[in-house]
Amino acid sequence: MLESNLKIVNQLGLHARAAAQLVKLSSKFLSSIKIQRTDSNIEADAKSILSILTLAASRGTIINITINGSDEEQALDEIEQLINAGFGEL
Amino acid sequence: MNIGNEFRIQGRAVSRGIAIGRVVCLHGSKRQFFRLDLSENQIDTEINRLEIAFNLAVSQLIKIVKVQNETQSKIFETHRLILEDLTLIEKIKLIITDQKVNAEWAIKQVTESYLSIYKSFKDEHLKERQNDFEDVMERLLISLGGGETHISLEKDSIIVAKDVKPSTLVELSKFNLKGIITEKGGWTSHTYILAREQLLPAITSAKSIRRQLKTGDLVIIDGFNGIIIAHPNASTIDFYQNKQNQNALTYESNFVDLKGKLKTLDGREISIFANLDNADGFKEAKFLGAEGIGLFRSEHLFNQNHSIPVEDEQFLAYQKIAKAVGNDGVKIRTFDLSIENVSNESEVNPALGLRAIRLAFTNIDTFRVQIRALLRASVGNKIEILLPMISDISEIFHAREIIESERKTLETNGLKVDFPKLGVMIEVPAAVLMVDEIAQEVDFMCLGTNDLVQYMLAVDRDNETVENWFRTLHPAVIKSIKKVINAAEKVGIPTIVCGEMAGSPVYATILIGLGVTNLSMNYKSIPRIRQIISQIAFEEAHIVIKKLETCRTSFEVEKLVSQLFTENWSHLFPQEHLPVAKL
Repeated sequence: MLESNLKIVNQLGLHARAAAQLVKLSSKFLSSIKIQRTDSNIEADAKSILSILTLAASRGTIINITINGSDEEQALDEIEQLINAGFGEL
Repeated sequence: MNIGNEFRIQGRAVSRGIAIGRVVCLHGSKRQFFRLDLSENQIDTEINRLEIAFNLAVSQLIKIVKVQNETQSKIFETHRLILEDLTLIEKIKLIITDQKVNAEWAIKQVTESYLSIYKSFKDEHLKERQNDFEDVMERLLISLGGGETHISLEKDSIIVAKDVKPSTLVELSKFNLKGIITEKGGWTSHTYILAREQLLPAITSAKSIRRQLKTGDLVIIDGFNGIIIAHPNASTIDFYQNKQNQNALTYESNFVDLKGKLKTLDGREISIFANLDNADGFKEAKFLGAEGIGLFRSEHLFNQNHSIPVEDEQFLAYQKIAKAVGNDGVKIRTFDLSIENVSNESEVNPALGLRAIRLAFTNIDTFRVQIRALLRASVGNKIEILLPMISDISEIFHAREIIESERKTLETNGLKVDFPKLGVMIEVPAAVLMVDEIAQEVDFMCLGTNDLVQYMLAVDRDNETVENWFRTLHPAVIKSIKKVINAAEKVGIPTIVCGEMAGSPVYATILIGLGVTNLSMNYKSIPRIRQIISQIAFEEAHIVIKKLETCRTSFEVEKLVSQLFTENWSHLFPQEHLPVAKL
């Protein structure tokens, strides 16, 4: 199991189109991918857009990602890249 | 007809341009339906019905994603992901089987449960996602009815509605849609992203517009100023038709809003402060929208009688300005003087000589007097201390030691003292390069852009013979500002830009794009700056900056600024206000 804290850096936060990118990426992997806000216990499934949108992760929010499965390393790597690059909006 | 009854309504422009047409009111397009209780043996049929509708809706979305351009594609791809989210369809099915109700009723319940979550969001951009969710659910409901929506428009129609869903816009833009007026929705809403792409003028936040306009009314959308003109008279129509025919270049905006918190078109909050040296001007500054004093140059107290005011005199002066400003707060910069100002000695190069914080540490007793006066005046008042011309972090440490020792002295003497915040001016290249480390040690930073340009480019700002080298838009200056903003953001402290740049419309727009959210200026500039900032989107300014960052010379930056500002905001920046590129 891998875990990482990441900061949402793009201006609009984890909005619908950004969430869509995250879902598409996460769905490529076999591992289970959970996202939790570090300031509350709201948890989301990274493969469900509706679930991600309920996180209301605006710019500056720090999220905790937990990945569990055979391709967890690759998954964490790519998800980290996407989030740190601000979903290509920076 | 209503000729002669012309009236205007102010809204917020979210897609620029001018449109003239007839109103078509859109009412809630939701399908009407009611709750049906099912018997056990009807449930499978109902689930089947849901699945067929679901597949129909998915195939519609696939079609839209394929046919349209990239922006539309991305938006409706998102809709498809929402629809295909397994939790969604599972929830609907669960309600059908558990409660034994029809699919429509189950969809209504699921929609409401998600909407209540989205509505509770504080972030404006995330809140707008409920519009997308409702749009998807409506598509599903319509598919349950077995068909597509059938809307058509007459010639030159302008839609008036509470809000418009992205799907509706796509549907309507196949007809003669000319513009959109809504009560709700913002710049980043998918509907207006699509409108901007299709060059459809749009205005939102038009309060109770649906009660003031009815289908068939003639209306003009001035999508530059965010103004709706209902029942325009012949001369108004003439005026706008001319504007439509000319290009937008000659258009001038006249919208100034002095009320409330300043926000960009896409909702980014910007704080405006005044640079003031006396208490008298604050009333007017506040009326114009100043949220405090961002820079009080304390040396102005001194210049009046050419001698250093005694502690009590300083104390009273600081207290007076702080009382005038009240809760808004004042940032008082300690004396920014050169040795020539306080003695008969002269220097060959005073700008690089014994001045500001260096002079303070040399004439330490004078500095201690000022610190004591500031500490005393800060009791019950919102005073922050600002140190000028910092070039080394040790200067911050040293200043803190002095502040602490004076605090102790005052306390020992039985005087009350407070703990004012401490900030520094970033104006020396060394401070820019060390800004990440500096940011860790202070409560806030102020960017003095005039001195920053002078020191960064090694150009005397008062020497005419080198004025061609004084280039505010030098790539090094832009990079420096960006570095400072990023450093402050990383540790979560504010940066206030308080030089000439903050009060100039063109430069202020560049600052906003660089991520600045606090500007301090001569208060006379506030109305113009508010006018500009309230009519640009941060997103647009940010894109401009991304392009400027590729430039390698001042000339290239100046040329590109002139070009991009004309392309984006010709209605806000007449050509003569734009920088002239100098080779």
